[in-house]
Amino acid sequence: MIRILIVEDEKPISDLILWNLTKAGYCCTCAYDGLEAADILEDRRFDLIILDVMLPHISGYELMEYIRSLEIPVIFLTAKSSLEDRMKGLTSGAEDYMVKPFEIVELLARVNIVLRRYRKAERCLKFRDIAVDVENQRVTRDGREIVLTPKELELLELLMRNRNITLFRERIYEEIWGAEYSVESRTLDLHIQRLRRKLGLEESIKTVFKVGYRMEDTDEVSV
Amino acid sequence: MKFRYKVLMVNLIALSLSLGVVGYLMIRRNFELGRDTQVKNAIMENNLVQSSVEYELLQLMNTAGGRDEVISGLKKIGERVVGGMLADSSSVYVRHGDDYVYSSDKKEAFIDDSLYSDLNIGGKNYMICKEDGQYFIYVTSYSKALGSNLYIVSKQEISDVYRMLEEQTRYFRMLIAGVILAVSVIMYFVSVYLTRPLEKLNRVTGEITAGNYDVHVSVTGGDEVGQLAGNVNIMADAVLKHVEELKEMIQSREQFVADFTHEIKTPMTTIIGYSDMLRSMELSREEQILAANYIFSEGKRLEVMSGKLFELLYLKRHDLKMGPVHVDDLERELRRITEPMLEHKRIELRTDIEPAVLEGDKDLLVTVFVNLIDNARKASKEGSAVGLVGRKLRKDAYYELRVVDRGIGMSQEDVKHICDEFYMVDKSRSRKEGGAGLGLSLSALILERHRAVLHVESSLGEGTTMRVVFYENEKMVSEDEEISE
Repeated sequence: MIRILIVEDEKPISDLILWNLTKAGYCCTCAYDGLEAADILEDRRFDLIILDVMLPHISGYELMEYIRSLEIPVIFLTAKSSLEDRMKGLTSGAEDYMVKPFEIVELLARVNIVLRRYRKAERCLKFRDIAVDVENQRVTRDGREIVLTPKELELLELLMRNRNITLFRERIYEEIWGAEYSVESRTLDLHIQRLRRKLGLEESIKTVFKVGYRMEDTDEVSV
Repeated sequence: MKFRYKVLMVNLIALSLSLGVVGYLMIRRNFELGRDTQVKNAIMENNLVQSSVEYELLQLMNTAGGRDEVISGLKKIGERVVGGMLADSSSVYVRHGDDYVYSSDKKEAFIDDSLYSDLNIGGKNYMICKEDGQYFIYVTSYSKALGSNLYIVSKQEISDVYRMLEEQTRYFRMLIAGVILAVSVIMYFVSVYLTRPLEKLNRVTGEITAGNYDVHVSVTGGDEVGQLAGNVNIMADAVLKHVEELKEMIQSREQFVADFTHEIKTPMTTIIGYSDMLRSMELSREEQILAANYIFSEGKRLEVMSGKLFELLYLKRHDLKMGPVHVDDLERELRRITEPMLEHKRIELRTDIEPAVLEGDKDLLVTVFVNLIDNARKASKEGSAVGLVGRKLRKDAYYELRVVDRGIGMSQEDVKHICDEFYMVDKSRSRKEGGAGLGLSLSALILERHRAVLHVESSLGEGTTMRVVFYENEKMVSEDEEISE
């Protein structure tokens, strides 16, 4: 199990991150200021740290100095969105940089990207009889290989990583096509239809009326 | 043209004009005096000649018989008289009727007719002529003899007077040239000396224009330039002060905006995050309530913040409604407002007020003390007490109101910052209580407008005393404006 340390002094935000990462299957620990975080880091090892910049007692940048020697990837979390602050965050050794306010899908995506970079993410995603080999870009169903286009594969990955979360059309377009969502476009619906047909996911990929799609895993117990 | 050259030019023109006029008049006068003396001498000489000739002529007329004899004798008389008394440069001509009967230099002298006109018997005429570069004075006397006009003309050289005039003029020109040269040199250095401070001023004002306000003119002296320099220094200081104030103001504005954006980001993140969860996940009933509650409380916090912010901006722009405020009334009002929230934590409000009348806006003062008492409440344990103490003071500070608690207290670092906008000593606790981090900055602003100062004394674990000291006049406030620790 992947362990993540959340260092954030605002309780509501800390709870929000904890809640979502736990639901996504990570094991999380919370620290509410820099000193507490340093104490926790002394005893335990983590795979990723989500670190707020503005912390009481010890700032995120100061704590970063300490973390660097531990070689744990860090995602900075900050309210400041100016270019200078981004630069400072990234040059201080952080893997990524996230500006408040953020959406949950964005948080999960960034966490995933950083973990993959550190080869800590799951190499293989599984959903019932479907297995996705993320590294080799291969999809198998019941052991037989299924040929997917790159976009279809990306879409499948996104749905599998965010199971039980409604993915809004805007968000999907942004993640997969990197483009602004346009109401008339049927591209997404077309891809979803083909995924359902190729992989027999007619039941699992639910259409949320007028909003988006959700991959439902009824076996999984919600946290 | 540079000022120093203007000064130089004007001075030189004035000097040469006055010197020229004075010199001209002096030389002219001198010349006239010399010439007049010469004229007098010539007339005297003519008189002498005339009287001698007339005397001899009378004698001759008495002894001689005919008219021709007398006329030929006249020539002899001329020779005799002239030979005995004439100087070398002088000549005498005797004219009888239209004939020159005698000429001492044997020359036919050119004599202008004007010498003979308008003459009365015994009268004299004179004129000055230039001949061959020399000046001569002709003096004519007129009398009647033997039925004809008898003119005795004496001629005298007066070149000396004119030579002297020329000499003096030449000398004067040289003198004036020398003096002007010397004066120019002196004036140049004087004007350089006088205008040097102006150049310094010029340089300094140039620097000020270029944006370097931290400059000073090192010009002393009580004259206008010295005064100007002093004023320029004062101006530079004032400009520097204002610019620094402006910079500070801009900085504090920027800080405020940065703090504000940061402060608003937290509730925004919470609201967006939890509503995102609500819309995209299947949550249990409990989870839904939890998420909705976060959204609700953070929304509330935003509302409180916007209200306080509005008050802050309003206060910065508008005048207060100042009037007499009885401390007793203030105490009653505070008790009424704070009692419900104090009761919640079973905290007692103990008051000890010396009656007095404050000058201020009652509603705003109530806001300030409700805030202070509320802060004390937040810091206090359940069942403890908060004190409100009012004391009359002497000197410039006339009254003091203290809010005392025996709560958790603050560190010195916190005390320094508690009046900063959005500063919270304990964020999570303050959030829970619905604080926006604006209460004390708002209070400090209100108190500042009341010529009052907030002093904070606190130590961790022992409690906090907030002293509000009211001052009589504005000056003392600014001098005393630091938060004592």
